[in-house]
Amino acid sequence: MIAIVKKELRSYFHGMMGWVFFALILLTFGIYTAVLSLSKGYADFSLVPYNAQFVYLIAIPLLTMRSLSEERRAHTDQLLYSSSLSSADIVLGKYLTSVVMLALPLAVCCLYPLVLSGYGRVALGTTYATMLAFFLLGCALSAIGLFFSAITTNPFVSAAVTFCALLFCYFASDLGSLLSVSILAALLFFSALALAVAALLRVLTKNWLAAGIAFAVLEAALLLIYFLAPGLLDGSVAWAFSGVALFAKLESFSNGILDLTALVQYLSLAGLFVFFAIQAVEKRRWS
Amino acid sequence: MIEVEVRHLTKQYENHLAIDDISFSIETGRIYGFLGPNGAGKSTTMNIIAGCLAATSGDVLIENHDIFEEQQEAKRHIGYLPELPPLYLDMTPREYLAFVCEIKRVPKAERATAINENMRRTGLLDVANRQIGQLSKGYRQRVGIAQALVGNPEVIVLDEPTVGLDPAQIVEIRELVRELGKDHTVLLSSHILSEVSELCDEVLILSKGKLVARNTPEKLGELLGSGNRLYMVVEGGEDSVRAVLESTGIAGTLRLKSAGAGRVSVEAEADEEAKERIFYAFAQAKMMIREMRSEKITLEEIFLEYTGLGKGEAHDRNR
Repeated sequence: MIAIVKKELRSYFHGMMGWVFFALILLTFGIYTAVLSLSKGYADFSLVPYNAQFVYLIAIPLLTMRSLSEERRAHTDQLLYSSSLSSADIVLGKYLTSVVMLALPLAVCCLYPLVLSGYGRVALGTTYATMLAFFLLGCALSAIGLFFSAITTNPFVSAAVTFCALLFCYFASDLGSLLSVSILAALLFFSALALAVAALLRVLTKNWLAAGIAFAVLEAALLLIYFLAPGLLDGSVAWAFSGVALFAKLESFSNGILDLTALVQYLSLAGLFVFFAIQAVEKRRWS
Repeated sequence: MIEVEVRHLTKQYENHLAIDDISFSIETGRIYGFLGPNGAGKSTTMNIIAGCLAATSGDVLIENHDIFEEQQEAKRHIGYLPELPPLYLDMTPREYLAFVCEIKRVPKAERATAINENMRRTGLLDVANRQIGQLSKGYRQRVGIAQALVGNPEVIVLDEPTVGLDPAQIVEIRELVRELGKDHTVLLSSHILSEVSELCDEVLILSKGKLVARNTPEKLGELLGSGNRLYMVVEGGEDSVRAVLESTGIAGTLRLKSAGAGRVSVEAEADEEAKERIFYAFAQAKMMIREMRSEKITLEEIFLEYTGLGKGEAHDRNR
């Protein structure tokens, strides 16, 4: 696993990608620091990461697009498979690399509030809590990017799909409030979601029966809720959307609240998508 | 000693059978050749043996370790060069081999010597610090082979090691493979027949996912016929030539054809002894032999015969 991390870091810095990624993060933070802290004189540095979060929409696809798909495109995955590395070693190595790549420029940015505190009072607690949340958000998003990199062969396709997924997360809270909130509409929405889950299951397992059973169980549960406790469905669509609205959760940190549930959600999402990526590699490897 | 044992190996893809119940074993210190047309299942079989792919059913044992159950242990004994060498083009051969050493868990203390030794054996020392992306195809193939040698495995599996190289590079790589055959058991695949007959001690012919023949290149020829075919041109009538030939008591099929100008061409199966008898018989009958030569069945014909591609027309090529 360490061998993979070393190799990946080397290839990021040997080529352009690592430097471009660093430049993007540092430039965005630099501009916001200059505008918000230096020019406008806000004492709250946490506004900088809060405003800079859109940079992830571009930076994360750049960071993860090549990691697994490039190996397959160049057929170097066969070298990894014929070595003593397990699929988990390979994926975790790749993921750890993106976490390190993310941590390096953010560590530099963490120095800014210290420098600023020499010239005035900076709310360091709020600032560093927001920086931590910003970092963990990046970890969760790069796990998503890694997963899409695992299921595609072309880095550009991987980047495009990741970008779309992140864009959806970015605007999810707004989208949720736009959608109809009637109870019947919620039922239809979740039924469609259940159908999508069943379809995904069919694609992954190539088993109609499993997909059918999954759909039947989900749909039965939905109907039960619809007829027995329809109140649960009220506002549930907006709730579901706010669940995937990963970016919006940064707001409470910036307001000075240490939102532990958000941190746990970031971490568990990262874990989940890394797990999916391992499964995707495992499946490719053995079929 | 048996190095690799493959038992009832089958690989079923969604709608086609890539490998159909293949069983064979390979032994220490020989060079084996997988021969077959494209799509015969050579690469799939090699991928499975190297632990890169799962089989639908069947076992692969490497040094008595199951490749599916005891992956780590089994993989230590096998080096694999896939059809497309798995190279990182932005690395130098030295960096690349160092990385391979790490992922193959070569002990740290042995790495430097292992890398230098592998580069010496594969003739890479001159280009050790140039980027792989800038190397010629022949050198890249060498880097691929050097990679397979990391950890000094007993068995080396090379999938089409000479494909896409120019003639000079092909000769070099073949020389290298022959060299490797002295210390390792080599299993290589090819669809170039001359390569297999030149390099390999034993040939395994695959066709449509089935193992259709396995033997030494020479023995395979004998199985198809005596392995000695006789071509003659004799002066005289067809009937009298046939009479003389039959008096020598040669077995097998006789093919006679008028060659014009009072000559008859003959094709028959005959070993050295029979040829002598035929010569004296014609001399006694005072019929002049204008031409007499014998030919071995080529691997090409064997191949076409076993894979069913030639549809029995292979023997008629010369006429």
